[in-house]
Order: sequence, then C-alpha cells, then structure tokens
Amino acid sequence: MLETVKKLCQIDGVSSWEDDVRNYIRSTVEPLADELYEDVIGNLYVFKKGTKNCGKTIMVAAHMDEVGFLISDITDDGFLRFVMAGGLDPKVILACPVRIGKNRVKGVIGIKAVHLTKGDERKKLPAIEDMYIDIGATSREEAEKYVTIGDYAALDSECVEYGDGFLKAKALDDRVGCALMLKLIEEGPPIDAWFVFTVQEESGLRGASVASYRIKPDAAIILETTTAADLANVKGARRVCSLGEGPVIPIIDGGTIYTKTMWEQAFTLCEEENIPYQTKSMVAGGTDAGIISKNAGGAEVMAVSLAVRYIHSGSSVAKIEDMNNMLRLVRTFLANFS
Amino acid sequence: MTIFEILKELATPVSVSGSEAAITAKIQELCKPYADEITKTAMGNLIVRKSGNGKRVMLMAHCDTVGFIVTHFEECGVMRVGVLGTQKMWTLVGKPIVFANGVRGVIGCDDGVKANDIAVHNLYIDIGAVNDSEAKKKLRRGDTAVLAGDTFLSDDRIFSPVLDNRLGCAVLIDVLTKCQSDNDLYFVFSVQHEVGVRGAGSASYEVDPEIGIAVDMTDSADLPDTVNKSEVKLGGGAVVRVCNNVTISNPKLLNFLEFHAHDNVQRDVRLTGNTDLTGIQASRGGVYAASVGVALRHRHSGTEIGSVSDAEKLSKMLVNAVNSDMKL
Repeated sequence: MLETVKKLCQIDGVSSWEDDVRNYIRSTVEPLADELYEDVIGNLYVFKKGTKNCGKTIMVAAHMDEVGFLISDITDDGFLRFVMAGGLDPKVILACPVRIGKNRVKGVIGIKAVHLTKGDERKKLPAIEDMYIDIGATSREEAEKYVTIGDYAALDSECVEYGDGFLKAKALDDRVGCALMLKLIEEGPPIDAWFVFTVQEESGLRGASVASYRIKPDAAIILETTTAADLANVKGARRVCSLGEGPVIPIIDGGTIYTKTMWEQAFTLCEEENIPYQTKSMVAGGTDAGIISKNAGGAEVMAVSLAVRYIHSGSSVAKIEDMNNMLRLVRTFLANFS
Repeated sequence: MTIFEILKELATPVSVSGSEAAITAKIQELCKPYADEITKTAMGNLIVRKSGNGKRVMLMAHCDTVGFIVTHFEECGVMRVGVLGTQKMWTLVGKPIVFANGVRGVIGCDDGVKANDIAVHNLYIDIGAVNDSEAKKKLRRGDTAVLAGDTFLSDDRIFSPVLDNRLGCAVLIDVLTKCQSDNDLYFVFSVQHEVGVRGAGSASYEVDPEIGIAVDMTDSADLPDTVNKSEVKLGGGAVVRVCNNVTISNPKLLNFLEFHAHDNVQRDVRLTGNTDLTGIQASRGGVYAASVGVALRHRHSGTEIGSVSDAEKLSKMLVNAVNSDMKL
C-alpha cells in the first residue's frame, strides 16, 4: 500500500482538477468493480460486493483533490499571480517550488526579499496578494508560452522516507485515504459497499454533497488525514493527535459530531484486536462527513484518519505504521458492522 | 399537563447536540398517547405523526441544548472540552455543570488570561479530581455536560437552564395534545441545531412537508442597552420571526399564523440568530416555511427566563392554525 500512496501523491490533482488522479484510480479499479461510474462533477463511484451484505447501504469515501493554487493573472514582467484552491497557511508556501498544469512547468513562490522590507512590514504576516510564482520568464509574452490564466499549480515535492519510519510528501491529504480504498477493493471488502472517490473536498465538501445525495447511504466511513501538532512547543490538548499512536477516530471535529455507536464500536474493536488508536483532543478540522451526515435524509458517520504533521503544505509528514494500522482498523470495522 | 409541567419533564434529560437519545426517548414517551406513528431518522431526528387527509404540515423544534463535550484529560485531573453551541467564553468561567451521567463540576480557566482573550482551549471542567486516573474513573472522552441549574416557576416566569429549546418542544407537545386537525401533522424534534442547524435539513427531507414551521426561542430586547434593537419583550406574547441573518420567513405564512393568534403578536425583525428555518425552507424543491417562537432573557447563560403565558399564547396560535384548512 505504501507504493500506491507514493504513486498517488506524485499525481497532481488540485481541487477541481482531479482528472489525472481519477484516471489512474479508474484504470486500477475498473477490472475489479462490480459497478462503476463517474458523475457530472467528477466523483468516481465503485460498487464492490463483499463477503456478505450487512443490511445497510454503506459508503466508504476518500477525496481525490489536494490543496493547491490556480493562476489568476500574469504580470507584464512575467510573474504569475495566484489564488488558493482549498485552505493553505500563506506562511508555509513561501519559497516553495510548484509545478503548473499538465506539462508541470516549474516555478517558485516568491515574495519581496527580506532585505527590502522595513521594520513593521517584517512583523506582518504575508498575504497571498503580495506573492507571485516565478517561472523564470522575463515578460508576459514569454510566460504565456508556458502557462495560461486558470491553470492549476501543485506543490512540487518528492516522496521521501526518513527517520524512524516517517514519510514526507505533498498530498498525503487525502491520497492515503484513496490508497486505502484501492487496497480494500483489491483484496475484496468484508461487506458490500460503495467506494466513492470524491472531488472538491478542500474547496467545501462539494463532491461529497453530490455523492451522498446520489448514494443516500445509511452509514458512511470517511477515510481521511488529520492535523497532528505533536511538536516541540505544543502541549496537551492542543496537539490534537500524534504520529505513531495509531489511526485517529474522531468523536467530534469542526464540522461533524460523529455517530456515537460507530466510534464506540471502533474503540472496542481496536482494544479487542490490539490496534493502537487515538481520538482528537481538540475540536479542529473537518471531513466529508460534515455534509454526508446531514444531506438528503441524513446518515450515520464515522471517520478514520491518519495523523499528519504540517498537513496542507508541500512537506506533510506521517508515520508509515499508522497507515498500516489504519487499514487493519477499517477492515475489522467493516467486517463487524451492521 | 400544563406547559410548565411538560417543560419540567423535558428539563431533566441532559441532551446536548449530538447526544439527543435521552431527550427524544422522553419526548416519545409523552407523545405516544397522541401519535399515530413515531419514527427516528439516521441522525436521530424524532418524527411524531398525527395523520390526516389535509395538508402535510410540519412543526419543528430542536431538542438539543448547548453544552460541552470532553476532549482531553489533563494530568492534573481537569478536562479540556469542546463547546457545543454559541457561547461568550468569559461568561462560562465559574459556572456549575452537570454531566449526563450525573457527575457534577465547575468550569475553570487557565490562570492569567484576560477575559476578552479567553478561548475554548483556555477552559476546562473540574470535577475535583487531582489526577487523570481519578477523573477517568468517572468520565470518558466524548462524555457531555450542560450548565447546571434548577427549573422553577416564579409567578408567570420560568427559570431554567434549558428553555432553549425545551420550551419550544413543550409547546409542540402541547399543540399535539390539544389540536383537532384534519391535516397530516408532523411534529419533528430535530437534532444538532446548536452546532449549526445540522439536523433540520435531513428531517425536512424525510417529512417532505408542504408547510413547515420552526419553533425556537429568540432573545428579548428589553434589557438595558440591548445592542440588537427589536420590539420583542418578555411577556409580550407569541413572536413571529420576520427575518434573521440567514433566512426570511414566508410573509404569507407569517401573516396567516399571526391572524390565527387572535391576539397581539410580536414581530421579530433582526439580523442575528439562526433557526431550523435554514434547513427547512430550501429543502428538496422548497417549502412554505416560517419561524415563530417566544422571547427569552439570558439565553444560553445557564439561567434562562421565559414566560408561561407567552408559551401558552404561542401554542394557541399554532393550534388555531393547524386546526384550519391551512390554505395560505
């Protein structure tokens, strides 16, 4: 599964431009699916029969899009202005390499050099409006040979395994969820389920809104990643969750109050089967469950998330053993769910 | 039962957003003798049907209250929490709370934080434990609590921590017991209102009504220096909510309801607040929908003040309305 995670992270799929991710996933699952279709907004639906039917309509979901940028303007001297697709902290993108469009035109995100800033300006947080992408062009005409307004730009970052079983990559959020779903489909799920690869989660849970309306699940399990702040200067509850402590089963986050019977069952299963697990110690973040829980007639929802440091940056980091435990948990949960 | 007696029954269960099973069980018990059908949706919304051949009419009141959910145990024995619903953080410090399992405690705040700077992560619940093992003997992550307080009557005034929206629920139950309608009535007790009107939409989708009326509490504007001006007073009677910052009630329906009060009605025109109308009005292909209620003082404070006569007048308005042919 690690190889699939790395492969998926390397494909660019900025929110609303998920085509390449979807095409790769589709080509992998098409021979295995019992039913497969794409909807108008770009969600990919795969129905896979399991060992048994649990008596409810089950939806397992992960989103294909990653946070990134869209080119909004080209200046006279060949620099690119951009807007965010999804939420990123402006501080973490400065000096980051990016790659633009299908041709992966290389660029760097820049801002006025520090030696040109005066006292007060240095204290201010940088704004996206003050930044630009430098593709090494010296005029608008030259830049227009390589990029067009509306092109997407993804963070340019390689997958690197380092330290004691850590992985650094861009787009762990949520290629890990997608990789997990591919694995479940490949090995055959314990129960009949719809596996939905959603679009535009990062820009407002939009794909999931459409998908939940089409499927109208009784229960949904959302496979995601979540922010871990287990860092040097962060204490107690504000860490939210930690790497190496297993998959995260949230009780509540910024957008959803998860179904109690589901997370209680997940906790019990983890204890019985010795799977490490944790929950979020602070109300933070959100998942596609936010819309799936309340759309149409509503659904029971649970999320299983991977703890990720520096999420929504080019250098997001997770522990590989957490991914493996996440898969174990989801498999066990589905096998026991009714 | 009088409205106050119903309210007293409804005030006992601790049911915050996301944990409505206890209150819906109590409501089901009270509604059973009068209902033709009672169902619960995936999210926990309770639908009590009184069948009829006329119009499909839904009255909705949210049954969750604001409260707290345990997210983390500190080594020193206190618990960090999530705050469910809108609260001014500094007003919570020092307030007594009670958990669903009966454990009692108080809300504390990290030392040295100025009132205006208090954020949710500065707050904690203290049950008197001196380390996390002791606290974990009584509580777990995910356990929920409400601001503690008695429910009592002082002449016409009701004092209670949960008038928002157990008083709205009490009105619905009162209407159910008193109405004699040919319409197909759905009394819906919705969930997760306080965390962003999350249950109303899916409840409305399930019922698919022609007409929908959201019953909720509003703030009276009769205290010193009220910022959001309005004519609404405690004891001023039923309130029809013309608009808030998210929705505008259907004027035809509002006028219809006002007429059927056969009494003075207060008109609430404000650019604040959010009601279940948000989930009802744009549901499916749209619903004729409006929002009504009564005024409270000190909403969400742990000691809310409402008026019995206001609630009775609201009930009467709704009974008269649903007893009619509801032709707008």
